[in-house]
Amino acid sequence: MLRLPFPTIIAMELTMKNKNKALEVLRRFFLTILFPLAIFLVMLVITRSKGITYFDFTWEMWRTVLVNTSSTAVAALAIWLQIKNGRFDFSGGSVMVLSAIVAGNLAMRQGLSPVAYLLICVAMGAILSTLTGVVYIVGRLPIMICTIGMALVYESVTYLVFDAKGLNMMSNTKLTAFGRMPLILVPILLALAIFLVYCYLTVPGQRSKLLSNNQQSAVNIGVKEARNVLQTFFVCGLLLGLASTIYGSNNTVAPQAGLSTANTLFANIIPAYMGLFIGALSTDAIGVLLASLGMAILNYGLSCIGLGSGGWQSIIVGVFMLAFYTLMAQLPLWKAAAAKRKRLKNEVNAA
Amino acid sequence: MKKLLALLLALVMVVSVSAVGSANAFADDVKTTHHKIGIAHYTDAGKAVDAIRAFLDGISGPMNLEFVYATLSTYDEATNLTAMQNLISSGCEGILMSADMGTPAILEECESAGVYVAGFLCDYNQSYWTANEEVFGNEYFLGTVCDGHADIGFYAEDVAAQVIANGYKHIGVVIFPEYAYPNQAAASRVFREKIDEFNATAADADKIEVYEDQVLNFSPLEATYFSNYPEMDCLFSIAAGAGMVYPTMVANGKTNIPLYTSGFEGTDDADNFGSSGNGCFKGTLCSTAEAMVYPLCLMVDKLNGTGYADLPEKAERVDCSALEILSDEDMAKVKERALYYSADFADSFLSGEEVVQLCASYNSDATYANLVDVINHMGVADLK
Amino acid sequence: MGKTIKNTWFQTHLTDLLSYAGLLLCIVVFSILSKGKLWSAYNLGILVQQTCVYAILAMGAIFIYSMGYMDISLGAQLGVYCLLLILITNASGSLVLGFCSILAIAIVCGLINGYVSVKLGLPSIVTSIFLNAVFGGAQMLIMERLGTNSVSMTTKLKFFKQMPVMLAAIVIIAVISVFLYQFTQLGKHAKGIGANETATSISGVNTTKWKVLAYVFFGFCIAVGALFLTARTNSAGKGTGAGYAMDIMVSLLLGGMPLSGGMRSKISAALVGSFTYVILANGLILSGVNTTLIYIIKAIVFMAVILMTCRKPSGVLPR
Repeated sequence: MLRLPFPTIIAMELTMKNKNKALEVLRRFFLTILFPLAIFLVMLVITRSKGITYFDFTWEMWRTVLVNTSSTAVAALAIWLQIKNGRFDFSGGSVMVLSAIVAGNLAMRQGLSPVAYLLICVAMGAILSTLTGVVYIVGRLPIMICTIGMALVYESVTYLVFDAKGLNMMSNTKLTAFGRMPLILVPILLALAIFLVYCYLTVPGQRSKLLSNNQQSAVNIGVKEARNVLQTFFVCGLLLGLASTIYGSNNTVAPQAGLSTANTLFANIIPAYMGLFIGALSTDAIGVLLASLGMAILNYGLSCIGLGSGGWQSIIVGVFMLAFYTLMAQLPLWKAAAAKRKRLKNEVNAA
Repeated sequence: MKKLLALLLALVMVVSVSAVGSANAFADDVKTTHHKIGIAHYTDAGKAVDAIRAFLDGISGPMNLEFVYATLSTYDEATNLTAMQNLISSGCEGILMSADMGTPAILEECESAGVYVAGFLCDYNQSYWTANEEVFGNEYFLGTVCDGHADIGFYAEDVAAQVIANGYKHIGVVIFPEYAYPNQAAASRVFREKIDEFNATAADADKIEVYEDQVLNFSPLEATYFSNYPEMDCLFSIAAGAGMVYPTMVANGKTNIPLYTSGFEGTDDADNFGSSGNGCFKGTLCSTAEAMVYPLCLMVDKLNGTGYADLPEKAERVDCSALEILSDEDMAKVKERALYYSADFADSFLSGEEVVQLCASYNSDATYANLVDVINHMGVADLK
Repeated sequence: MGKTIKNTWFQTHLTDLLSYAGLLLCIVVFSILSKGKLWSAYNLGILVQQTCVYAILAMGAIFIYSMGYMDISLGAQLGVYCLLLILITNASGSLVLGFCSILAIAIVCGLINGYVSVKLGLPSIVTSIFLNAVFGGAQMLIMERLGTNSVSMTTKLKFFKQMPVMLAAIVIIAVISVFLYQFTQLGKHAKGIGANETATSISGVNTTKWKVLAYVFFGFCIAVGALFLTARTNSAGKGTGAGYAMDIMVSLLLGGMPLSGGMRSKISAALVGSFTYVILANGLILSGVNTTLIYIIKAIVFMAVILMTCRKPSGVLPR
């Protein structure tokens, strides 16, 4: 029997490990991008069967898809940050709208640069979101109730600032640079970085996780809840500020009332919920990004076949979301069943 | 033209003032009666709202009117009924409204409360075609003034002329659904007829292609529209282009395509018109806030128990002048002199005293024909 | 001992008292500011008319919010039911058939919301988003197919528009709701699920069954609400129902309902909240407040009310 020298065995094992690791990374990568890839392929077949030729790799298509992906993903990350910390923030949309109105009008009036516009948006987002956090802590109100109240307050302010004119700066190509390709990638990359650093690389991010898992226990072991809440609201404000940079660049923003801003933000809620599953093999933030990409491809494809707006689009997206969520909710059950089958098989073999 | 209009009104005033024996102070002699009028508008922000408020504030003193404001919905009947009920409760004797949604139920409510209703800057298409007798035949509905012309074929003809003159070859047309805005579909047909007339005699190389109507379901134009028609070199969005089409053009880098539209908002469409800004907007259309005198005078007369001798028996929907802006000169005039743009009552076509003189109850010589004539002399050419 | 009991009663009912006080304050303030117009016969009539739909919907929603769940599909469901009620009644000539049809659909949706979400292991918000998307889409499709902005009922529902009838509807739904909530296991278990679903389930309660029943009653209330909403204008369009989900949420909060559900939930929150919400909107107009200021005043009032009624005095921050 051939006996290999020990270092060779070690080297082989390492190679095998590396190979396995590389395979594992590849597997994870493939499964992670499977969602947008599958949607792209399905929509490609559908659009081709309808004789549409511009749904493939045209710059026009991918520019629209990437812009929509970025605007959805940044907002979805802000929603997801609060949801994963156990809070449902209704005020996010109003923070986004008010930040865009204030920053956009200031930038236009003062002749500021797009970077200054972005910074004001982010600063406004952080201030308003932190203020919501302060009211939550001082008022000791249930989070949904508190954020509904603050949303109503911020919405009403949109009627009181800048003569209730809202914001209209879409045609200002200089100021809206962060709303278009390629600079729109800046807010999304910043948002991803902020989200990942805060949630996975900082102590407050880890403490937030503790608080969301078991609030009372976390407090009992010494987590300063109020401080952590403020930190999370501040970070969420940064994300909302980035979202407002894109929103103000690509939309005419009218003064809002009647909690309509909740719909503005929650229009992006589907990728936030999907992200958890899609990012199961990477991180939730990547999941949110890819979910947004998938939904942007889906919407573009629907638009190509004449279902981009109106009733059918709404129904298709709703059914798609339910089907996806249902499938994902069954995964743990299927995994458990598979594990059980495997165990039983092993037991039979052993016997 | 505006001067001519002022002169005409001044003449009417002098005649009427002479009739009551006073030479120079008609305002002292005209005893106006105080009324509280509800103004229910479909939106609560924007140029049109600012202009309407500036105009009503300006005439409220001379007309002895008090205005209460409410916001309507263009989609929800119950919201409108609630808004109208609240106005009635607040003591409004008459209400002017600019959204035709739930109108039969609103009239039923107003009739039982003894409150009159009239429309402003709204063509009441829904009621006009599906509940004409119920609404226009109702004695509590006094009539409405359209948002410009009910038939905007004239604008389509003018745009077609510019398209031909400028040598555009591939034209996109965007409209709202015909059931909601039949005048837009009609305008599209007029536009196509004019282009067909041109094509009939044009050389093959000069022929113009007009793409089929793109119907917007009250949502913004989709980016794929530009992929569908990559050769498009001009866009005629009869549907509100500034709000529904232009944002998509900006997002997709298509502001190099000339855009003719309607529904002037005085924002991007003013900054990027003709030779200004990115020059995307080449034509736009809107109507003036001053046209509100039509329902207002009818309302005041009704509340005062009088009426024009020549007032039609059945309530009407009448046209008013449109501010048709098709050149830099037109835009400059509108920016400098129109109340719609400045929201400054000093720019109004009519002073408070002139509005008083348009009412039959304060001027026995006032006629309905004159009232309709006045609101039809408020175009770009009539600006001082 | 007596003092302790009194203190306990006071503490337990403090939120109720504050929400009643909020309603009372609204009435007093607007009676003064509106110079008595609030009390005119006409205004009282429209207050009942405007409150009726809110109150009916809010009473149904109480059962959902008691469980700590949230429903955002309410407005879209309401819109579609109004349209279907009109279309079916116009086609068949029978209001009963129209109403029974929408009631059946509402109950099926209740089953989807409750049973399907439990069986598929979905959070209630997901099924709610799904129903919102489907009903919102259906509403748009119906209007696109009809090719109109607004569709009217050929026979007028004058009976359901009368003030006494609307008042009676509020009372009847309130009696049914209170009965179900206080005297049957539905209310008890709905609150139990809101307080601690796991504990309720472990204690032997079939939570699925009670969730489904709560959603079915909610569906019933939406169907009844649709009937009265349609009766108001005799018509419906693509915007009918829009905003109701949020309006109901705000109404419940004004009535002192904890949105996290649990044992402090109560039917009175729906009634007090709905009346407060409608009187606030009505009173501000009657008082001649500028429309742009109305929003900020409403927001401040809302914040004041929730700070008084929803504040949790100690412990970890409320979720």
